[in-house]
Amino acid sequence: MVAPELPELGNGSLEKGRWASDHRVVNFWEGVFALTTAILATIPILVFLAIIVFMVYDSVEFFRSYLEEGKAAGATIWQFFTDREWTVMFEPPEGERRRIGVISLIIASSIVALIAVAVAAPLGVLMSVVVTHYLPKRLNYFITPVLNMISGVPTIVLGAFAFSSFTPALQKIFPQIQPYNLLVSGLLVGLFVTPTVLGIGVSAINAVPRSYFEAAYSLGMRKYEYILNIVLPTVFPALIAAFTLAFSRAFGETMIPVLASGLTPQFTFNPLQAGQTVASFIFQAATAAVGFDTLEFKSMFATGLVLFLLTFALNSVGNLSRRRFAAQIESLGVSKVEEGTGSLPGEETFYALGERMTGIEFKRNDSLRALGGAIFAGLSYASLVPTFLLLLFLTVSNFRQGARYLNGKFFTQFADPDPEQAGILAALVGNLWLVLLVLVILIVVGLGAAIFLEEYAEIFLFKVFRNRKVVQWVETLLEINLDNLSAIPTIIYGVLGTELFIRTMKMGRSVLAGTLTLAILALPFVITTFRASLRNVPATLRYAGYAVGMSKSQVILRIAIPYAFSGLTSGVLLAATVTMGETAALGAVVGSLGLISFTPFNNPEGRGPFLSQFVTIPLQIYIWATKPTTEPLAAAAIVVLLTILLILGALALFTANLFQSKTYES
Amino acid sequence: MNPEQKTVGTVLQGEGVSIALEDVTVFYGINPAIQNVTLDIYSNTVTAFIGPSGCGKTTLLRCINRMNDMITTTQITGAIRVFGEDVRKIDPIELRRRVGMVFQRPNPFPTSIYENIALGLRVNGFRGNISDQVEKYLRLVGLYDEVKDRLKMNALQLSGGQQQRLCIARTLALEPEIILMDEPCSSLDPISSIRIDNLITQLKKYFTVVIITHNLQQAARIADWVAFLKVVEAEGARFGVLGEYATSTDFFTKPSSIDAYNYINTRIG
Repeated sequence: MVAPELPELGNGSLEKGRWASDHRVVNFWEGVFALTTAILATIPILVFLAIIVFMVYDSVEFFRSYLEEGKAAGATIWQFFTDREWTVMFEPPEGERRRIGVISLIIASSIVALIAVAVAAPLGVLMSVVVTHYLPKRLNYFITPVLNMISGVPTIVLGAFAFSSFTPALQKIFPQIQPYNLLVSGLLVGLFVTPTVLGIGVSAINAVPRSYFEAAYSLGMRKYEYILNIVLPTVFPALIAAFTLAFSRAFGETMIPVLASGLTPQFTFNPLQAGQTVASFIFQAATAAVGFDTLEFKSMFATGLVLFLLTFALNSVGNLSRRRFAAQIESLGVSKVEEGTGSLPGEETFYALGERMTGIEFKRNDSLRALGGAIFAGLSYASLVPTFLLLLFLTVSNFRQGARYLNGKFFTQFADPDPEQAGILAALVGNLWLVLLVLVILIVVGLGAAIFLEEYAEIFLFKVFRNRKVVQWVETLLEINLDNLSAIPTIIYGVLGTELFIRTMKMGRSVLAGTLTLAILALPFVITTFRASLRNVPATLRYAGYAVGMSKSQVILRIAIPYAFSGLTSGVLLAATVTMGETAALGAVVGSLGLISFTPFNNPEGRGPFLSQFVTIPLQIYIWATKPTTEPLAAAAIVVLLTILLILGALALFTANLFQSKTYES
Repeated sequence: MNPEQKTVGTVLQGEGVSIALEDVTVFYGINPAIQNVTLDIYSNTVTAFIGPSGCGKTTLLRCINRMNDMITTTQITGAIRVFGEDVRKIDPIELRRRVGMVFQRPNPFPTSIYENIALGLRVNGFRGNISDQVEKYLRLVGLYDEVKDRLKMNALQLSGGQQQRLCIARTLALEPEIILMDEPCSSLDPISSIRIDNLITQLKKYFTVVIITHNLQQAARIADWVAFLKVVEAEGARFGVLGEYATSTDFFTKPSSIDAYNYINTRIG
C-alpha cells in the first residue's frame, strides 16, 4: 500500500487569524440561549402551581358560599363527605340547603373506572402477548398502530356512538338496561384505555432478558408455558402500574359518561342505571350558563380538586412503580459477579445425582400441553377482536348515518337550525385555526422546555444543589410531575383555562383562551415526546460536534435537533391529533354552547381572529349529537373529524419512520 | 531519552513541547481514574498511549481538549498545558478548535459529506473559501477522488474506513495544532487501518498527534514515543498510573519495567 503523498499545506495555513469566531460572543449567545430555555421550562411548573392555587382557592370559596346560603338549614363542611346526594345544580326551596355529597359522584366514577379496568386489563395484557410473541414482526408495524388508534379517537365520538348505537343494541339483548347507564360508559372507556395497558405491557415484555427465553426453551417449556410462568410474573409489577394508570385515566374520562350515562347524579351501585361521574358533573357545570360568582360555578373547583387529588395520587403511584420496574429489569440483564465462593461439585455429588436420575419418570402429556398452547394462543388472538370490531362499527355506523349529508354543501355552510341547511364550515375553520395556533406555541415552548430539561437541567441543578443524590431526586420529581400533568383529566385544564384566561385575564370565551388552554393541556405530553427524541441523539455525535469547536447551543441546534427532526415532527403531529379532537376542555372554555355561524376571520362583532368566539368540530358534534333531529349531522361531522385525524396520525407514523434507514450506529 | 537528538525519517523531531501534563489526577465522583501523571508530549511527533483496559488512557486524552467537562462529576487536579497555556484558562470552544479529536468509532454528522467538513469551518468563523478548504482536506486524507462526484451524499452511506477518514478530514480542516485520536482504527478492517496509519505518519509534518491504541504493532509502526499506562490497586480502588514513557524503539526493544515487558508480550491486558 502506497502512502498518500501529503500535499503542501502552504505557509499561511496554520495562522490563528484565519478563524473569525470569538469565543466571548459565542459564550454570550450560549448564555442567552440557556436562559431562554430555562424560562420556557418554568411554564409547566407554573401551570402545575396555578392548578393547585386556583383549585384550592375556589374550593374554599365554594364552601364559604355554601355555608352562607345554607346557614338556616344547618350546613356544615362535613356534608361534602356525609351527604349521599349531590344537588348543587338545583336552587333549594326556602329554609333548605343543597346536598353536596360528592361521594355519589365518586362512586359513579369508580364504577365506570372499575368496569373499564376489568375490560382493559385482560385485553391489554393479552394484546401485549400477541404483539410481542405471536404476531410476525412485519404484521406488527401495521397492527400495533391500529390497536393504538382507539385511544386517538376523540372521546366525544365514542360517547356519541355509545348513546346512539351501542346502548340501543344492548337494550335489544338486555331490556332492563336504561338508555343512560354506567355500564356502557365503562365498557367503552375500557376499550379507550386499553392502549395504555398495551403500551406499558409491550415495553415491559420486551425488556425481559432474552436469556430467560433461552433458559425456558432449553428446559423444554412451550411458548405459552414460558409466557405464563416466566414472562408475566416478571412483568407483573409493570402490569399493576399499567392498571393503576388505566384506572386513573378512566376515572377522569369526561365525554363518554356525559353522553352515555346521563347528567343526573345518583347514589347507586348499579351499573345498569344512569349516574353522573365527577368529570361529567364538572363538564355540566362548566357548560351551564352560570355567572362566575354563583355556587354552581364554584362547585367545579371543589369537584375538580377531588378529581385532581384522586387522579394525581393514582398517577403518582402508577408512574413511580413503573419507573421502579424499569430500573429493576435493567439490572436483571447484568449478572452480578460472585467471586470464588462456590466450590466445584465434587465426585460425591455426581454419584448422588446419578442414583437419583434413574428413579425419575416424566409424565408425558404432550397432547394436553399442545391443547393448552392452542387455547392460550386463541385467547390472545381473540383479544384483538373487540378493538377491531369497535373501530369497524364506529366507521360503518357513522358513515351510514351521515352519508346523506356528506357532500360539498356540508363544508361550505354554517351550522343552521334547519338540518338540511347545516354545515361545518365554522367548526372546520375554527378547529384548524385553533390547532395551528396551539402548534406554534407548543413548538416554541415545548422545544425550549425540552431542551432545558434534557440538556441543561442536570448541570443547572448540580450547580444549585452540589449533591448528585439530590439532583437525581429533583430530576425524577420533575419527570414524574410531567408524566402526571399529561395524565390529568383534560376537563381540569378546561376549568383552569376558564378561571385563568377568561375570568382572571379577561380574554373572553375567545380563540385566544381556547388556544392557551389547549396549549397547556398538550404541553406536558409534547415536552415528554421532545425529550425522548433528543435523548435518542447518540452521544458520539454530540462529542463530534464539541470536538470541532461547537458550543453547547450549537451542538443542540445544528446537530441534535436536525438528527431528532423526524421524532420531533412526529411529536408535533401527535399533539395536533390530541388538540384537534379535544372536547371536554374546550367545552369548558366555550361555556354555553350556542349556534356559531361565522368563522374567526369574519365574526360579526369584528373582534379579529384572536378574540373571536369559535366552535370546533368536536364541540359541534356534541351540540348535534345531543338532539335527535341532528344526530345524522353529528355522524357526518364525526366522519370528517376521523378522516382528518387518520391523515394526521398516518403522517405522524410516517415521519417517525422516515429516517429510520439512516439510523446511526452508536 | 533526550528528545533533541531524536530524528525519524527526514523530519527533525522534538523541537518543543506541545502538551505538558504535570501531576494530573482525575476523579469521577469519588472514584479515581488516573493518578499523578507527569509527561511532556513533543511537537511534531506521534505519541501513543497504550495500556490495559481501565488504565485511564481515554480519560487522560479527553482532559487535553476538555471533553471531560461534559461529565459533571469529573474533578481534575494538576496542570495541563497546551503550548504553555493552561487549558483551564483557554475557552473550551477555542481549545477544541486548536486541539482536534478523532473518535473510536467513526461519527460523521448525519448530513452530506461536504457539510460534515463545512459545518465545523462555519461555526469557527473560517475566513477562507470553504469549498476550497473542504476539497483540500478531502484530498489530504485521500478521500477526494473517491467521493468528488457525490459530495452531497449523506456521509452515513460511506464505508466505515471512508467515514473515519472523513472524520479525520473534518478535524484537520480546522487546522488544529494537536490531534487526539482515540483508537481511530479499532472498528476498521486491516486495509482501511493501514491507510490511516500511513496518513498519521505523514500528518506529523504539520501536527502533533496523540493516539490511543490497543494494537501494539500499530503503536510500533507509527509512534515516535510511547506512554505506557498501567493499572494499580490501592485502598480498594483501581486506577491508572504512568508506567513508562520512552521512545518507541526503546520501549519495544528494552522496556525498563516488568509490567511493560509483560504487556508487550501479552502476559496481561
